[in-house]
Amino acid sequence: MKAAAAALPLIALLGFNSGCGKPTGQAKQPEAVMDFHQLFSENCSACHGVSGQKGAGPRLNDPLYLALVTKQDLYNVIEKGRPGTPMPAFAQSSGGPLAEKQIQAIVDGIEKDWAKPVNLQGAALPVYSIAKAPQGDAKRGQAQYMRNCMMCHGFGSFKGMAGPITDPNYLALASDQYLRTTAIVGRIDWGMPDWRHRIPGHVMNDQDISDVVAWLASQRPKGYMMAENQSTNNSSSNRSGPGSEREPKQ
Amino acid sequence: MLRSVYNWLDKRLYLTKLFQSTAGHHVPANSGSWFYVFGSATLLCFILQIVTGTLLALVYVPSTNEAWKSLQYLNHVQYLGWYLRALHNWGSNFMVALMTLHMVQVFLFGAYKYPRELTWVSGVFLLVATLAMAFTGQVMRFDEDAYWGLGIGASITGRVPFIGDRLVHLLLGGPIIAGETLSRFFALHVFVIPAIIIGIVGMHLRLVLTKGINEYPVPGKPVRRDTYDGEYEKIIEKQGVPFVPDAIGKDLIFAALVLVLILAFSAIFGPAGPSGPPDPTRVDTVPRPDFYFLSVFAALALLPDWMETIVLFVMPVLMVGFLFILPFISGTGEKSARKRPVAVLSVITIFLVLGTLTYMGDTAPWSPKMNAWSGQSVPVDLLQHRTPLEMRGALVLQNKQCRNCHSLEGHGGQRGPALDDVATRLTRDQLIRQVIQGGGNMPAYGKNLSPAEVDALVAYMLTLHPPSHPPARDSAQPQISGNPNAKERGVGEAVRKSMTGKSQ
Repeated sequence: MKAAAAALPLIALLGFNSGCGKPTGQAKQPEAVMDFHQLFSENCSACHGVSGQKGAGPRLNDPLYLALVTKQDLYNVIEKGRPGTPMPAFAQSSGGPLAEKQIQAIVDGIEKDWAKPVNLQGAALPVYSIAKAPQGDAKRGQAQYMRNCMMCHGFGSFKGMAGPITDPNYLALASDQYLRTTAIVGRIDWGMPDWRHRIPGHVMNDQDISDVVAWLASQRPKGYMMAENQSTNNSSSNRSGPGSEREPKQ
Repeated sequence: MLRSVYNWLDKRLYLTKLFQSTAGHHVPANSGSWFYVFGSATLLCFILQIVTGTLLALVYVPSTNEAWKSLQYLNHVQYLGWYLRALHNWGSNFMVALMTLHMVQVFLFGAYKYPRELTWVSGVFLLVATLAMAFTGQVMRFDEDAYWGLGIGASITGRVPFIGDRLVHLLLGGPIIAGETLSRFFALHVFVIPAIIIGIVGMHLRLVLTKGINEYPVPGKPVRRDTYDGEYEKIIEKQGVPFVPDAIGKDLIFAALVLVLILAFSAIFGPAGPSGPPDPTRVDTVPRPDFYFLSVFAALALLPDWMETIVLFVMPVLMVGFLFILPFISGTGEKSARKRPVAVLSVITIFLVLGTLTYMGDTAPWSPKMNAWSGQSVPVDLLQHRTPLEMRGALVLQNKQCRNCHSLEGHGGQRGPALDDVATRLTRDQLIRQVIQGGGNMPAYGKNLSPAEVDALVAYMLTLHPPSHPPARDSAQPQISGNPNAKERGVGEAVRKSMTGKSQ
């Protein structure tokens, strides 16, 4: 009994001092969430990986990638998505869940947490945007592919250990910009080297990259033109049902 | 001096007499048992609820615009306001729990039998009133749970035959949840139902006094209408002790324990909510009722359409009605649970059912997790050694929100089967058909997916099998050495062509 009597004020005191039951934050409107980590984990981590890498989608926790793109590029992609690819639009103006300032918070967070100075070891950083890059030549691109990519991605009956990228269905879901970006920065998290480290002693230049992308684009079957260039593919006109609210608006 | 003051008062107020006929009345010595403490503990909780509730009402604003804000004020600004809310919340949880224990004890000890039928009936009224307090109290915490709970309550009410619309109107103060709704529920929660409870508790206690506390049941000593009253009188004569101070000891110790637990739980776990604001335009909410209604929530979610009217209107009437007539259909006979196997089994069954439904209501595996597609990452080990096409397939899986219903490594919705080993169950052709045409509760996604997306998605799903367990194989086709699915580029091609042809 005495022990119980002594425990009562002690428990009460502990409770008040630590206040472990005291509510800390208040439940917020989803538009009011501004914390980068929460925003990223709720909206981006599913495809881009828990800490921005080792996801199925492009690696964002990548100083090289962040050196390549501007903050405006990131903003635009999050805002409008990449029609025809699995990247949906996130801005409320495009039917997504996020307010403008939240997108800005994500962009700022990505830059703040993951951007670092990159040592290019003397190589020039290629141009990011497909629009500003030199015109590619598909014929030369095939030769570049054989030289730089074939060892891992295979050709014809030779299956590389990383799997083919000439698969028409893969190409139908990968935009030219995605191909270019991946050709430049690689996927270090999954073992794909960047443009400087494919062949010892050889660094791909801007033209080489444009050529490879042009050749890959030429492997895409007709009627499978990327939505970024065309409107969208043929089945999108009668989209309805579950998931349609996340579809990019046309 | 003091004695003379007391005597003066006693001559006018009859204090001694009042004490002797109430707290000092004689009870069977063996009813001073640990099983007999739950009723007084429930009453203690009710008193605590009145005190904390009154204090909360000093700050709380019962208006749809201000309620949520005033709760935030209590939680974050008002000194110890959060603790007050926590006390009221845990007091209510304990009250419902202790009331249930009390009821089960009374049932198992046969205390509802002759001559205490009315004590039991008034107790059933208290049960209904307490649950009404719990529901209206949940509405007071005017957050998204309250809002949608209210919506469900209103639509159930609206289905009452003939007068449904009017009832809803009366309850909500209009056809929809609007300005007056919260005022009405506030009035119910603060004035009407507590007044009813106080009245019935008075009757309940008076019946305990007039008909006496049930003696500890002895197996093999059944209640008989003609002899019981005499037997009880004898028990009181032989071994009766005054309730105060002799028999109240265990009640006091238990009451202290309950108080300590409520204080501690409130300090450690804090108040409930409020969750998000009650905004009907927010659709990405996962509203849940408080735990005492989770079983109802689960039952309503799981039952088929044709059973709705029965479960909503016939079952409650039957259940409460059964509780009301229980002392009249089994008013005599054995009291001891040792001789009443049906009673014991009923209690066990009811608690198993309620427990299972509550667990299901809490996990709600039937409702899709609407943010899994963007918030649950594909596990890294399910991405390793995948081809670029399969990686794209994993992206399609996320982007088309498959994860909202299908889990990977336990994360994601539980509505459809988990996909971790889907390749062991379905062949490539079956996967394509399932994705495009749906079936078995799954919608058809053919119109939401391009042929390339189907191909990538299926390619990825074909990699989802444990290393020790080979993927499913089409028994109509001879097995090809190596990976049976690797060569089937041609099949996908054919599907793609036929699909493109169809939609053009």
